[in-house]
Amino acid sequence: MINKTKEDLLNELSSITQIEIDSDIKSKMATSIDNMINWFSILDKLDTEGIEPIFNPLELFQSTLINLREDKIAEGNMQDLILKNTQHKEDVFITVPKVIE
Amino acid sequence: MTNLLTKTLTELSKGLNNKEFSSNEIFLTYENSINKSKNLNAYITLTLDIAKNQALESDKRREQGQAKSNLDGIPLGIKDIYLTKGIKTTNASHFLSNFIPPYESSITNKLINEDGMVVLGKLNMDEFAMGSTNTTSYFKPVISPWKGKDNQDYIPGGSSGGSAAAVAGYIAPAALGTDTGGSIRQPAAFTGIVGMKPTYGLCSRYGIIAFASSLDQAGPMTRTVEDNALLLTHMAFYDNKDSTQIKNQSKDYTKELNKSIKGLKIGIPKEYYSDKLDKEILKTWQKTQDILKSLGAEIIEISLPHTEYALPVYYIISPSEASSNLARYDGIRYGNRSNGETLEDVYKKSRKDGWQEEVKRRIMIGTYNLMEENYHNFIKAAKVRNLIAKDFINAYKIVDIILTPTTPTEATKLNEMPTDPIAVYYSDIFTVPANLAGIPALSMPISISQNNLPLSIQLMGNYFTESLMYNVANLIEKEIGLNFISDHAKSLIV
Repeated sequence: MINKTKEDLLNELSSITQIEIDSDIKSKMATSIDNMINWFSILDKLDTEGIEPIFNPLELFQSTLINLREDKIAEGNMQDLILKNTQHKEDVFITVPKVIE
Repeated sequence: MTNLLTKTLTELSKGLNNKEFSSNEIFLTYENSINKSKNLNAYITLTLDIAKNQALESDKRREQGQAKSNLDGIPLGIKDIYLTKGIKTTNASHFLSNFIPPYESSITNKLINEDGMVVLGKLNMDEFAMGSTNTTSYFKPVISPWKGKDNQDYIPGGSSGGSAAAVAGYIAPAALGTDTGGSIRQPAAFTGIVGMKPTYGLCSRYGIIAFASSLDQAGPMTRTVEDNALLLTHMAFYDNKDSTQIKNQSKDYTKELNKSIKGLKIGIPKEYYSDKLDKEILKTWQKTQDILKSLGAEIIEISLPHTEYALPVYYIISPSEASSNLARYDGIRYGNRSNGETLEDVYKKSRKDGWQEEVKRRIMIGTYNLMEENYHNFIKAAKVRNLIAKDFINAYKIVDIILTPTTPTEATKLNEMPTDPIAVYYSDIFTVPANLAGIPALSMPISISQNNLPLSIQLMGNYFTESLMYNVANLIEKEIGLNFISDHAKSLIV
Protein backbone atom coordinates (compact mmCIF):
# COMPACT_ATOMS: atom_id res chain seq x y z
CA MET A 1 0.00 0.00 0.00
CA ILE A 2 1.22 3.49 -0.80
CA ASN A 3 2.13 5.19 2.46
CA LYS A 4 -1.22 6.48 3.61
CA THR A 5 -1.28 7.71 7.20
CA LYS A 6 -3.73 5.88 9.42
CA GLU A 7 -5.72 9.11 9.73
CA ASP A 8 -5.97 9.42 5.94
CA LEU A 9 -7.09 5.81 5.71
CA LEU A 10 -9.79 6.40 8.33
CA ASN A 11 -11.06 9.43 6.41
CA GLU A 12 -11.14 7.43 3.21
CA LEU A 13 -13.02 4.55 4.87
CA SER A 14 -15.39 6.99 6.52
CA SER A 15 -16.24 8.39 3.12
CA ILE A 16 -16.71 5.00 1.40
CA THR A 17 -18.79 3.53 4.24
CA GLN A 18 -20.83 6.76 4.64
CA ILE A 19 -20.15 6.72 8.37
CA GLU A 20 -19.19 9.98 10.00
CA ILE A 21 -16.68 9.45 12.81
CA ASP A 22 -16.84 11.70 15.86
CA SER A 23 -13.62 13.64 16.33
CA ASP A 24 -13.15 12.38 19.91
CA ILE A 25 -12.84 8.73 18.81
CA LYS A 26 -10.98 9.38 15.55
CA SER A 27 -7.49 8.69 16.81
CA LYS A 28 -8.53 5.57 18.73
CA MET A 29 -10.43 4.22 15.73
CA ALA A 30 -7.55 4.94 13.33
CA THR A 31 -5.10 3.13 15.63
CA SER A 32 -7.30 0.08 16.15
CA ILE A 33 -7.89 -0.29 12.39
CA ASP A 34 -4.16 0.08 11.77
CA ASN A 35 -3.43 -2.58 14.41
CA MET A 36 -5.87 -4.98 12.81
CA ILE A 37 -4.38 -4.49 9.36
CA ASN A 38 -0.95 -5.25 10.79
CA TRP A 39 -2.35 -8.29 12.58
CA PHE A 40 -3.70 -9.67 9.28
CA SER A 41 -0.13 -9.86 7.96
CA ILE A 42 0.28 -13.11 9.99
CA LEU A 43 -1.29 -14.70 6.91
CA ASP A 44 1.60 -13.53 4.71
CA LYS A 45 3.86 -16.26 6.06
CA LEU A 46 1.57 -18.93 4.65
CA ASP A 47 2.02 -20.06 1.05
CA THR A 48 -1.44 -20.46 -0.52
CA GLU A 49 -0.30 -20.91 -4.11
CA GLY A 50 -2.71 -23.28 -5.87
CA ILE A 51 -5.24 -23.34 -3.00
CA GLU A 52 -8.83 -22.59 -4.03
CA PRO A 53 -10.61 -19.91 -2.01
CA ILE A 54 -13.93 -20.92 -0.42
CA PHE A 55 -16.68 -18.43 0.30
CA ASN A 56 -19.30 -20.64 1.91
CA PRO A 57 -19.13 -23.97 3.80
CA LEU A 58 -21.71 -25.41 1.40
CA GLU A 59 -18.89 -25.65 -1.14
CA LEU A 60 -17.30 -28.26 1.13
CA PHE A 61 -20.13 -30.71 1.56
CA GLN A 62 -23.07 -29.82 -0.65
CA SER A 63 -22.69 -31.85 -3.81
CA THR A 64 -26.00 -30.87 -5.38
CA LEU A 65 -26.94 -27.35 -6.40
CA ILE A 66 -28.46 -25.08 -3.83
CA ASN A 67 -32.22 -25.14 -3.59
CA LEU A 68 -33.57 -22.07 -5.26
CA ARG A 69 -37.31 -21.59 -4.95
CA GLU A 70 -39.47 -20.60 -7.83
CA ASP A 71 -39.37 -16.93 -8.67
CA LYS A 72 -42.94 -16.28 -7.54
CA ILE A 73 -44.27 -13.78 -5.05
CA ALA A 74 -45.20 -15.77 -1.94
CA GLU A 75 -46.22 -12.91 0.29
CA GLY A 76 -46.72 -9.19 -0.04
CA ASN A 77 -49.32 -6.45 0.26
CA MET A 78 -47.90 -5.23 3.53
CA GLN A 79 -47.59 -1.56 2.62
CA ASP A 80 -49.05 -0.45 5.95
CA LEU A 81 -46.68 -2.58 8.01
CA ILE A 82 -43.69 -1.38 6.04
CA LEU A 83 -44.67 2.30 6.21
CA LYS A 84 -44.99 2.00 9.98
CA ASN A 85 -41.21 1.82 10.17
CA THR A 86 -40.60 5.35 8.95
CA GLN A 87 -41.59 8.71 10.37
CA HIS A 88 -40.92 10.35 7.04
CA LYS A 89 -43.83 9.72 4.71
CA GLU A 90 -46.44 11.39 2.57
CA ASP A 91 -49.40 9.31 1.47
CA VAL A 92 -47.82 5.95 0.53
CA PHE A 93 -44.39 7.43 -0.19
CA ILE A 94 -41.26 7.58 1.95
CA THR A 95 -39.77 11.07 1.77
CA VAL A 96 -36.10 12.11 1.62
CA PRO A 97 -34.35 15.50 1.32
CA LYS A 98 -34.63 16.99 -2.14
CA VAL A 99 -32.14 15.36 -4.52
CA ILE A 100 -32.87 17.32 -7.72
CA GLU A 101 -32.69 21.09 -7.83
CA MET B 1 -44.54 -23.03 42.25
CA THR B 2 -40.78 -22.63 42.48
CA ASN B 3 -40.39 -26.30 41.65
CA LEU B 4 -41.48 -25.45 38.09
CA LEU B 5 -38.51 -23.11 37.84
CA THR B 6 -36.04 -25.92 38.34
CA LYS B 7 -37.65 -28.17 35.75
CA THR B 8 -35.82 -28.76 32.50
CA LEU B 9 -37.45 -28.25 29.13
CA THR B 10 -37.84 -32.01 28.87
CA GLU B 11 -39.48 -32.23 32.30
CA LEU B 12 -41.82 -29.34 31.47
CA SER B 13 -42.80 -31.12 28.27
CA LYS B 14 -43.54 -34.38 30.10
CA GLY B 15 -45.38 -32.62 32.91
CA LEU B 16 -47.61 -30.77 30.47
CA ASN B 17 -48.31 -33.97 28.56
CA ASN B 18 -49.26 -35.70 31.85
CA LYS B 19 -51.35 -32.70 32.97
CA GLU B 20 -49.27 -32.32 36.17
CA PHE B 21 -49.34 -28.54 35.73
CA SER B 22 -50.56 -26.01 33.19
CA SER B 23 -48.80 -23.72 30.77
CA ASN B 24 -50.25 -20.80 32.69
CA GLU B 25 -48.60 -22.03 35.90
CA ILE B 26 -45.26 -22.23 34.12
CA PHE B 27 -45.82 -18.75 32.73
CA LEU B 28 -46.65 -17.30 36.17
CA THR B 29 -43.52 -18.90 37.61
CA TYR B 30 -41.33 -17.30 34.99
CA GLU B 31 -43.14 -13.97 35.16
CA ASN B 32 -42.38 -13.90 38.86
CA SER B 33 -38.72 -14.74 38.39
CA ILE B 34 -38.34 -12.22 35.54
CA ASN B 35 -39.74 -9.50 37.78
CA LYS B 36 -37.11 -10.34 40.40
CA SER B 37 -34.27 -10.34 37.89
CA LYS B 38 -34.16 -6.87 36.32
CA ASN B 39 -30.57 -6.53 37.58
CA LEU B 40 -29.36 -9.04 34.96
CA ASN B 41 -30.63 -6.78 32.13
CA ALA B 42 -31.15 -9.93 30.07
CA TYR B 43 -34.29 -8.85 28.24
CA ILE B 44 -34.53 -5.84 25.94
CA THR B 45 -38.26 -6.26 25.36
CA LEU B 46 -40.62 -8.27 27.54
CA THR B 47 -43.75 -9.70 25.92
CA LEU B 48 -45.48 -10.95 29.05
CA ASP B 49 -48.97 -9.90 27.90
CA ILE B 50 -48.55 -11.88 24.70
CA ALA B 51 -47.02 -14.77 26.66
CA LYS B 52 -49.95 -14.86 29.08
CA ASN B 53 -52.42 -15.21 26.20
CA GLN B 54 -50.30 -17.80 24.46
CA ALA B 55 -50.09 -19.84 27.67
CA LEU B 56 -53.87 -19.72 28.18
CA GLU B 57 -54.47 -20.67 24.54
CA SER B 58 -52.04 -23.55 24.92
CA ASP B 59 -53.85 -24.82 28.00
CA LYS B 60 -57.12 -24.78 26.03
CA ARG B 61 -55.49 -26.78 23.23
CA ARG B 62 -54.10 -29.32 25.66
CA GLU B 63 -57.48 -29.65 27.40
CA GLN B 64 -58.98 -30.54 24.04
CA GLY B 65 -56.15 -32.97 23.34
CA GLN B 66 -54.91 -30.78 20.52
CA ALA B 67 -51.38 -29.89 21.60
CA LYS B 68 -49.47 -28.55 18.60
CA SER B 69 -46.24 -30.28 19.64
CA ASN B 70 -44.52 -31.57 22.77
CA LEU B 71 -43.18 -28.04 23.28
CA ASP B 72 -46.68 -26.53 23.24
CA GLY B 73 -47.07 -24.14 26.17
CA ILE B 74 -43.40 -23.98 27.16
CA PRO B 75 -41.84 -20.50 27.45
CA LEU B 76 -38.89 -19.43 25.34
CA GLY B 77 -36.56 -16.41 25.28
CA ILE B 78 -35.50 -15.11 21.87
CA LYS B 79 -32.29 -13.30 21.03
CA ASP B 80 -33.24 -9.88 19.69
CA ILE B 81 -31.71 -10.67 16.29
CA TYR B 82 -34.65 -12.91 15.24
CA LEU B 83 -37.36 -10.90 13.50
CA THR B 84 -40.67 -11.23 15.29
CA LYS B 85 -43.65 -9.83 13.41
CA GLY B 86 -45.25 -6.98 15.32
CA ILE B 87 -42.74 -7.25 18.19
CA LYS B 88 -39.91 -4.73 18.35
CA THR B 89 -36.62 -6.23 17.13
CA THR B 90 -33.64 -4.02 17.90
CA ASN B 91 -30.49 -6.10 17.28
CA ALA B 92 -29.40 -4.33 20.50
CA SER B 93 -28.82 -1.18 18.48
CA HIS B 94 -30.01 2.41 18.55
CA PHE B 95 -30.36 2.06 14.76
CA LEU B 96 -33.25 -0.41 15.13
CA SER B 97 -34.50 0.68 18.57
CA ASN B 98 -37.96 1.42 17.10
CA PHE B 99 -38.06 -1.25 14.41
CA ILE B 100 -41.19 -3.41 14.20
CA PRO B 101 -40.61 -6.23 11.70
CA PRO B 102 -43.31 -6.72 9.06
CA TYR B 103 -42.53 -10.47 8.94
CA GLU B 104 -41.46 -13.36 11.16
CA SER B 105 -38.23 -15.38 11.09
CA SER B 106 -38.76 -18.98 9.96
CA ILE B 107 -37.47 -20.43 13.24
CA THR B 108 -39.63 -18.31 15.54
CA ASN B 109 -42.60 -18.88 13.23
CA LYS B 110 -42.07 -22.62 13.61
CA LEU B 111 -41.49 -22.65 17.37
CA ILE B 112 -44.21 -20.18 18.30
CA ASN B 113 -46.90 -20.44 15.64
CA GLU B 114 -46.54 -24.08 14.61
CA ASP B 115 -45.21 -25.70 17.81
CA GLY B 116 -47.07 -23.50 20.32
CA MET B 117 -44.17 -22.20 22.39
CA VAL B 118 -44.73 -19.12 24.56
CA VAL B 119 -42.57 -16.07 23.87
CA LEU B 120 -41.35 -14.37 27.08
CA GLY B 121 -39.43 -11.61 25.34
CA LYS B 122 -36.50 -10.50 23.24
CA LEU B 123 -33.07 -11.00 24.75
CA ASN B 124 -30.16 -8.61 25.02
CA MET B 125 -26.99 -9.19 23.00
CA ASP B 126 -23.95 -7.39 21.65
CA GLU B 127 -24.92 -4.71 19.13
CA PHE B 128 -25.57 -6.38 15.74
CA ALA B 129 -24.10 -9.58 17.32
CA MET B 130 -20.63 -8.07 17.13
CA GLY B 131 -18.85 -8.79 20.37
CA SER B 132 -18.03 -11.50 22.86
CA THR B 133 -18.76 -9.60 26.05
CA ASN B 134 -22.32 -8.25 25.81
CA THR B 135 -20.94 -4.84 26.71
CA THR B 136 -21.56 -3.39 23.22
CA SER B 137 -25.37 -3.45 23.53
CA TYR B 138 -27.09 -0.09 23.12
CA PHE B 139 -29.34 -1.27 25.96
CA LYS B 140 -26.46 -1.59 28.46
CA PRO B 141 -24.46 -4.70 29.35
CA VAL B 142 -26.00 -7.97 30.50
CA ILE B 143 -24.77 -9.05 33.92
CA SER B 144 -23.85 -12.69 34.42
CA PRO B 145 -26.01 -14.62 36.90
CA TRP B 146 -22.71 -15.94 38.31
CA LYS B 147 -21.13 -13.69 40.91
CA GLY B 148 -17.78 -15.37 41.51
CA LYS B 149 -16.25 -15.83 44.93
CA ASP B 150 -15.79 -12.09 45.27
CA ASN B 151 -19.47 -11.36 44.57
CA GLN B 152 -18.76 -9.06 41.61
CA ASP B 153 -20.40 -8.36 38.25
CA TYR B 154 -19.04 -10.64 35.53
CA ILE B 155 -19.69 -10.59 31.79
CA PRO B 156 -21.95 -13.38 30.50
CA GLY B 157 -19.98 -13.46 27.23
CA GLY B 158 -21.51 -12.71 23.88
CA SER B 159 -22.95 -12.04 21.55
CA SER B 160 -25.87 -14.20 22.81
CA GLY B 161 -25.21 -13.01 26.38
CA GLY B 162 -28.83 -12.20 27.19
CA SER B 163 -29.87 -15.68 26.07
CA ALA B 164 -27.14 -17.26 28.21
CA ALA B 165 -27.93 -15.14 31.27
CA ALA B 166 -31.66 -15.85 30.93
CA VAL B 167 -31.18 -19.61 30.80
CA ALA B 168 -28.50 -19.73 33.51
CA GLY B 169 -30.39 -17.18 35.61
CA TYR B 170 -33.64 -19.20 35.46
CA ILE B 171 -35.63 -16.45 33.77
CA ALA B 172 -36.21 -18.61 30.69
CA PRO B 173 -36.18 -22.40 30.50
CA ALA B 174 -34.45 -22.21 27.11
CA ALA B 175 -33.42 -19.56 24.62
CA LEU B 176 -32.48 -19.03 21.00
CA GLY B 177 -29.04 -17.77 20.09
CA THR B 178 -27.02 -17.21 16.95
CA ASP B 179 -23.36 -18.02 16.44
CA THR B 180 -21.09 -16.38 13.85
CA GLY B 181 -17.74 -16.94 15.58
CA GLY B 182 -18.69 -18.40 18.95
CA SER B 183 -21.68 -16.28 19.96
CA ILE B 184 -23.66 -19.25 21.30
CA ARG B 185 -20.80 -21.37 22.68
CA GLN B 186 -18.71 -18.71 24.41
CA PRO B 187 -21.58 -17.24 26.50
CA ALA B 188 -22.84 -20.78 27.16
CA ALA B 189 -19.36 -21.60 28.47
CA PHE B 190 -19.21 -18.50 30.69
CA THR B 191 -22.63 -19.14 32.21
CA GLY B 192 -22.50 -22.93 32.62
CA ILE B 193 -25.18 -23.94 30.13
CA VAL B 194 -25.29 -26.04 26.96
CA GLY B 195 -25.05 -24.22 23.64
CA MET B 196 -25.00 -25.75 20.16
CA LYS B 197 -23.94 -24.19 16.88
CA PRO B 198 -25.29 -26.69 14.36
CA THR B 199 -23.80 -27.50 10.95
CA TYR B 200 -23.98 -24.53 8.58
CA GLY B 201 -27.24 -24.94 6.68
CA LEU B 202 -29.06 -27.12 9.23
CA CYS B 203 -31.24 -24.29 10.56
CA SER B 204 -32.91 -21.63 8.44
CA ARG B 205 -31.38 -18.16 8.62
CA TYR B 206 -34.49 -16.53 7.08
CA GLY B 207 -35.55 -13.57 9.19
CA ILE B 208 -32.42 -13.55 11.33
CA ILE B 209 -30.67 -10.21 10.86
CA ALA B 210 -27.57 -10.98 8.80
CA PHE B 211 -24.09 -10.34 10.20
CA ALA B 212 -21.76 -12.59 8.14
CA SER B 213 -23.91 -14.79 5.95
CA SER B 214 -21.39 -17.58 5.32
CA LEU B 215 -20.77 -17.99 9.07
CA ASP B 216 -24.08 -17.21 10.84
CA GLN B 217 -26.04 -20.12 12.32
CA ALA B 218 -29.00 -20.29 14.69
CA GLY B 219 -28.87 -22.64 17.65
CA PRO B 220 -30.42 -23.63 20.99
CA MET B 221 -29.20 -22.62 24.47
CA THR B 222 -30.44 -24.78 27.34
CA ARG B 223 -29.65 -26.08 30.83
CA THR B 224 -29.09 -29.70 29.79
CA VAL B 225 -27.88 -31.67 26.78
CA GLU B 226 -31.21 -33.46 26.47
CA ASP B 227 -33.05 -30.10 26.40
CA ASN B 228 -30.68 -28.87 23.72
CA ALA B 229 -31.33 -31.93 21.56
CA LEU B 230 -35.07 -31.49 22.05
CA LEU B 231 -35.07 -27.83 21.02
CA LEU B 232 -32.80 -28.40 18.00
CA THR B 233 -35.17 -31.15 16.85
CA HIS B 234 -37.81 -28.42 16.52
CA MET B 235 -35.46 -25.81 15.01
CA ALA B 236 -34.04 -27.90 12.18
CA PHE B 237 -36.53 -28.22 9.33
CA TYR B 238 -36.42 -27.59 5.61
CA ASP B 239 -37.14 -23.99 4.67
CA ASN B 240 -37.18 -22.92 1.04
CA LYS B 241 -36.89 -19.28 2.09
CA ASP B 242 -33.18 -19.80 2.84
CA SER B 243 -31.25 -20.98 -0.21
CA THR B 244 -28.32 -22.10 1.98
CA GLN B 245 -30.53 -24.39 4.05
CA ILE B 246 -29.94 -28.09 3.43
CA LYS B 247 -32.88 -30.38 2.69
CA ASN B 248 -33.60 -33.61 4.57
CA GLN B 249 -30.94 -33.33 7.27
CA SER B 250 -33.17 -32.77 10.29
CA LYS B 251 -34.11 -35.58 12.64
CA ASP B 252 -35.11 -36.38 16.21
CA TYR B 253 -31.92 -35.58 18.09
CA THR B 254 -33.23 -36.99 21.38
CA LYS B 255 -33.24 -40.58 20.08
CA GLU B 256 -29.61 -41.58 20.53
CA LEU B 257 -28.62 -39.81 23.74
CA ASN B 258 -27.70 -42.94 25.68
CA LYS B 259 -25.94 -45.10 23.12
CA SER B 260 -22.63 -46.63 24.19
CA ILE B 261 -19.62 -44.72 22.91
CA LYS B 262 -17.25 -47.63 23.40
CA GLY B 263 -14.53 -47.49 20.78
CA LEU B 264 -15.47 -43.97 19.67
CA LYS B 265 -12.41 -41.99 18.63
CA ILE B 266 -11.95 -38.60 20.27
CA GLY B 267 -9.40 -36.22 18.76
CA ILE B 268 -7.35 -33.84 20.89
CA PRO B 269 -5.78 -31.20 18.62
CA LYS B 270 -2.29 -30.40 19.86
CA GLU B 271 -2.49 -26.84 18.50
CA TYR B 272 -5.16 -26.03 21.11
CA TYR B 273 -2.59 -26.27 23.90
CA SER B 274 -2.27 -22.51 23.54
CA ASP B 275 -0.05 -20.41 25.77
CA LYS B 276 -3.18 -18.37 26.49
CA LEU B 277 -4.88 -21.40 28.04
CA ASP B 278 -5.70 -21.00 31.72
CA LYS B 279 -4.48 -23.82 34.02
CA GLU B 280 -7.93 -24.59 35.38
CA ILE B 281 -9.34 -24.85 31.85
CA LEU B 282 -6.51 -27.20 30.95
CA LYS B 283 -7.45 -29.38 33.93
CA THR B 284 -11.10 -29.32 32.86
CA TRP B 285 -10.09 -30.44 29.38
CA GLN B 286 -8.04 -33.29 30.83
CA LYS B 287 -10.83 -34.26 33.21
CA THR B 288 -13.19 -34.59 30.23
CA GLN B 289 -10.67 -36.79 28.42
CA ASP B 290 -10.54 -39.05 31.50
CA ILE B 291 -14.34 -39.26 31.61
CA LEU B 292 -14.46 -40.22 27.94
CA LYS B 293 -11.77 -42.84 28.46
CA SER B 294 -13.77 -44.30 31.35
CA LEU B 295 -16.75 -44.52 28.98
CA GLY B 296 -14.67 -46.61 26.60
CA ALA B 297 -13.72 -43.96 24.08
CA GLU B 298 -10.26 -43.79 22.62
CA ILE B 299 -8.31 -40.53 22.99
CA ILE B 300 -6.12 -39.71 19.99
CA GLU B 301 -3.83 -36.73 19.55
CA ILE B 302 -4.43 -35.03 16.22
CA SER B 303 -3.16 -31.97 14.40
CA LEU B 304 -5.16 -29.07 12.95
CA PRO B 305 -2.10 -27.31 11.53
CA HIS B 306 -3.74 -24.06 10.40
CA THR B 307 -5.40 -23.26 13.74
CA GLU B 308 -3.25 -20.20 14.44
CA TYR B 309 -4.57 -18.49 11.31
CA ALA B 310 -8.25 -18.94 12.13
CA LEU B 311 -8.70 -15.75 14.13
CA PRO B 312 -7.18 -13.31 11.59
CA VAL B 313 -9.02 -15.16 8.77
CA TYR B 314 -12.26 -14.74 10.70
CA TYR B 315 -11.59 -11.04 11.25
CA ILE B 316 -11.03 -10.54 7.53
CA ILE B 317 -14.01 -12.56 6.31
CA SER B 318 -16.70 -11.68 8.87
CA PRO B 319 -16.27 -7.88 8.71
CA SER B 320 -16.11 -8.04 4.91
CA GLU B 321 -19.45 -9.82 4.77
CA ALA B 322 -20.81 -7.51 7.48
CA SER B 323 -19.77 -4.36 5.61
CA SER B 324 -21.79 -5.58 2.66
CA ASN B 325 -24.79 -6.79 4.71
CA LEU B 326 -24.90 -3.57 6.72
CA ALA B 327 -24.78 -1.29 3.67
CA ARG B 328 -28.60 -1.49 3.68
CA TYR B 329 -28.85 0.55 6.89
CA ASP B 330 -29.29 4.08 5.62
CA GLY B 331 -32.12 5.37 7.79
CA ILE B 332 -34.50 5.73 4.87
CA ARG B 333 -37.09 2.93 4.79
CA TYR B 334 -36.62 1.71 8.35
CA GLY B 335 -34.24 2.29 11.24
CA ASN B 336 -33.74 5.60 12.99
CA ARG B 337 -33.07 8.51 10.64
CA SER B 338 -30.91 11.47 11.62
CA ASN B 339 -31.52 14.87 10.13
CA GLY B 340 -29.33 16.12 7.32
CA GLU B 341 -29.39 18.83 4.66
CA THR B 342 -28.81 16.43 1.78
CA LEU B 343 -29.57 12.77 1.23
CA GLU B 344 -25.90 11.92 1.71
CA ASP B 345 -25.87 13.83 5.00
CA VAL B 346 -28.84 11.76 6.14
CA TYR B 347 -26.96 8.54 5.36
CA LYS B 348 -23.76 9.66 7.07
CA LYS B 349 -25.43 10.99 10.17
CA SER B 350 -27.85 8.08 10.51
CA ARG B 351 -24.96 5.61 10.28
CA LYS B 352 -22.96 7.68 12.75
CA ASP B 353 -25.76 7.98 15.31
CA GLY B 354 -27.16 4.48 14.72
CA TRP B 355 -24.17 2.38 15.67
CA GLN B 356 -21.52 2.37 18.35
CA GLU B 357 -17.79 1.97 17.94
CA GLU B 358 -17.39 -1.81 17.46
CA VAL B 359 -19.89 -2.07 14.60
CA LYS B 360 -18.32 0.94 12.87
CA ARG B 361 -14.84 -0.54 13.25
CA ARG B 362 -15.92 -3.81 11.69
CA ILE B 363 -17.70 -2.16 8.77
CA MET B 364 -14.56 -0.13 8.10
CA ILE B 365 -12.20 -3.09 8.37
CA GLY B 366 -14.46 -5.08 6.06
CA THR B 367 -14.61 -2.23 3.59
CA TYR B 368 -10.82 -1.94 3.73
CA ASN B 369 -10.43 -5.62 2.82
CA LEU B 370 -12.89 -5.33 -0.05
CA MET B 371 -11.19 -2.29 -1.61
CA GLU B 372 -9.60 -3.10 -4.95
CA GLU B 373 -6.08 -2.47 -3.65
CA ASN B 374 -6.57 -4.81 -0.66
CA TYR B 375 -8.88 -7.42 -2.15
CA HIS B 376 -6.00 -9.91 -2.19
CA ASN B 377 -6.36 -9.97 1.64
CA PHE B 378 -9.91 -11.22 1.31
CA ILE B 379 -8.99 -13.85 -1.27
CA LYS B 380 -6.01 -14.96 0.82
CA ALA B 381 -8.30 -15.34 3.84
CA ALA B 382 -10.77 -17.38 1.75
CA LYS B 383 -7.91 -19.67 0.68
CA VAL B 384 -6.74 -20.14 4.27
CA ARG B 385 -10.36 -20.81 5.20
CA ASN B 386 -10.21 -23.73 2.79
CA LEU B 387 -7.02 -25.00 4.49
CA ILE B 388 -8.66 -24.72 7.93
CA ALA B 389 -11.70 -26.65 6.69
CA LYS B 390 -9.48 -29.31 5.10
CA ASP B 391 -7.70 -29.72 8.46
CA PHE B 392 -11.05 -30.77 9.94
CA ILE B 393 -12.04 -32.93 6.98
CA ASN B 394 -8.73 -34.77 7.30
CA ALA B 395 -9.09 -35.11 11.06
CA TYR B 396 -12.53 -36.72 10.71
CA LYS B 397 -10.94 -39.46 8.61
CA ILE B 398 -9.22 -40.52 11.86
CA VAL B 399 -11.54 -39.43 14.70
CA ASP B 400 -15.30 -39.10 15.27
CA ILE B 401 -15.39 -36.07 17.56
CA ILE B 402 -12.85 -33.38 18.45
CA LEU B 403 -12.61 -32.25 22.07
CA THR B 404 -11.22 -28.81 23.01
CA PRO B 405 -11.81 -26.11 25.59
CA THR B 406 -14.53 -23.60 24.57
CA THR B 407 -12.62 -20.56 25.83
CA PRO B 408 -9.04 -20.01 27.00
CA THR B 409 -10.15 -18.48 30.32
CA GLU B 410 -13.18 -18.19 32.59
CA ALA B 411 -15.47 -15.13 32.40
CA THR B 412 -13.94 -11.69 32.96
CA LYS B 413 -15.12 -9.15 35.50
CA LEU B 414 -17.25 -6.46 33.90
CA ASN B 415 -14.90 -3.70 35.01
CA GLU B 416 -11.75 -5.56 33.97
CA MET B 417 -12.49 -5.85 30.26
CA PRO B 418 -9.44 -5.32 28.03
CA THR B 419 -9.68 -2.15 25.94
CA ASP B 420 -7.68 -3.47 22.99
CA PRO B 421 -10.16 -5.01 20.50
CA ILE B 422 -7.71 -7.70 19.37
CA ALA B 423 -7.21 -8.82 22.99
CA VAL B 424 -11.00 -9.22 23.29
CA TYR B 425 -11.12 -11.19 20.01
CA TYR B 426 -8.79 -13.81 21.49
CA SER B 427 -11.58 -15.13 23.71
CA ASP B 428 -13.00 -16.63 20.48
CA ILE B 429 -9.78 -18.38 19.53
CA PHE B 430 -11.23 -21.91 19.97
CA THR B 431 -14.69 -21.21 18.58
CA VAL B 432 -14.13 -19.47 15.22
CA PRO B 433 -12.62 -22.49 13.39
CA ALA B 434 -15.96 -24.37 13.49
CA ASN B 435 -17.74 -21.42 11.84
CA LEU B 436 -15.10 -21.11 9.13
CA ALA B 437 -15.42 -24.83 8.32
CA GLY B 438 -19.19 -24.93 8.86
CA ILE B 439 -19.00 -27.92 11.23
CA PRO B 440 -21.25 -28.33 14.29
CA ALA B 441 -19.83 -27.47 17.72
CA LEU B 442 -21.28 -27.63 21.21
CA SER B 443 -20.22 -26.14 24.53
CA MET B 444 -21.07 -27.72 27.88
CA PRO B 445 -20.01 -27.04 31.48
CA ILE B 446 -17.67 -29.51 33.17
CA SER B 447 -16.45 -28.00 36.42
CA ILE B 448 -16.48 -24.97 38.69
CA SER B 449 -13.38 -22.79 39.05
CA GLN B 450 -11.73 -21.79 42.31
CA ASN B 451 -13.43 -18.47 41.75
CA ASN B 452 -16.82 -20.23 41.59
CA LEU B 453 -17.38 -19.72 37.85
CA PRO B 454 -18.28 -22.42 35.32
CA LEU B 455 -15.57 -23.98 33.14
CA SER B 456 -16.59 -25.60 29.87
CA ILE B 457 -15.40 -27.74 26.99
CA GLN B 458 -16.30 -27.83 23.31
CA LEU B 459 -17.17 -30.84 21.18
CA MET B 460 -16.72 -30.38 17.43
CA GLY B 461 -18.29 -32.92 15.10
CA ASN B 462 -18.21 -33.74 11.43
CA TYR B 463 -20.93 -32.24 9.22
CA PHE B 464 -24.45 -33.25 10.33
CA THR B 465 -23.29 -35.43 13.25
CA GLU B 466 -25.29 -33.48 15.85
CA SER B 467 -26.88 -36.74 17.08
CA LEU B 468 -23.52 -38.28 17.91
CA MET B 469 -22.39 -35.05 19.60
CA TYR B 470 -25.48 -35.00 21.82
CA ASN B 471 -24.89 -38.69 22.61
CA VAL B 472 -21.32 -37.99 23.76
CA ALA B 473 -22.29 -34.79 25.61
CA ASN B 474 -25.18 -36.49 27.38
CA LEU B 475 -22.96 -39.31 28.66
CA ILE B 476 -20.37 -36.79 29.86
CA GLU B 477 -23.08 -34.79 31.62
CA LYS B 478 -24.31 -37.90 33.42
CA GLU B 479 -20.79 -38.78 34.55
CA ILE B 480 -20.12 -35.31 35.96
CA GLY B 481 -23.23 -35.33 38.09
CA LEU B 482 -22.71 -31.67 38.98
CA ASN B 483 -25.56 -29.20 38.88
CA PHE B 484 -24.51 -25.88 37.41
CA ILE B 485 -26.93 -23.59 39.18
CA SER B 486 -25.89 -19.93 39.03
CA ASP B 487 -25.85 -17.70 42.10
CA HIS B 488 -28.79 -15.74 40.73
CA ALA B 489 -30.82 -18.91 40.05
CA LYS B 490 -30.11 -20.11 43.60
CA SER B 491 -31.52 -16.85 44.96
CA LEU B 492 -34.73 -17.45 43.00
CA ILE B 493 -35.16 -21.06 44.04
CA VAL B 494 -35.01 -20.54 47.84
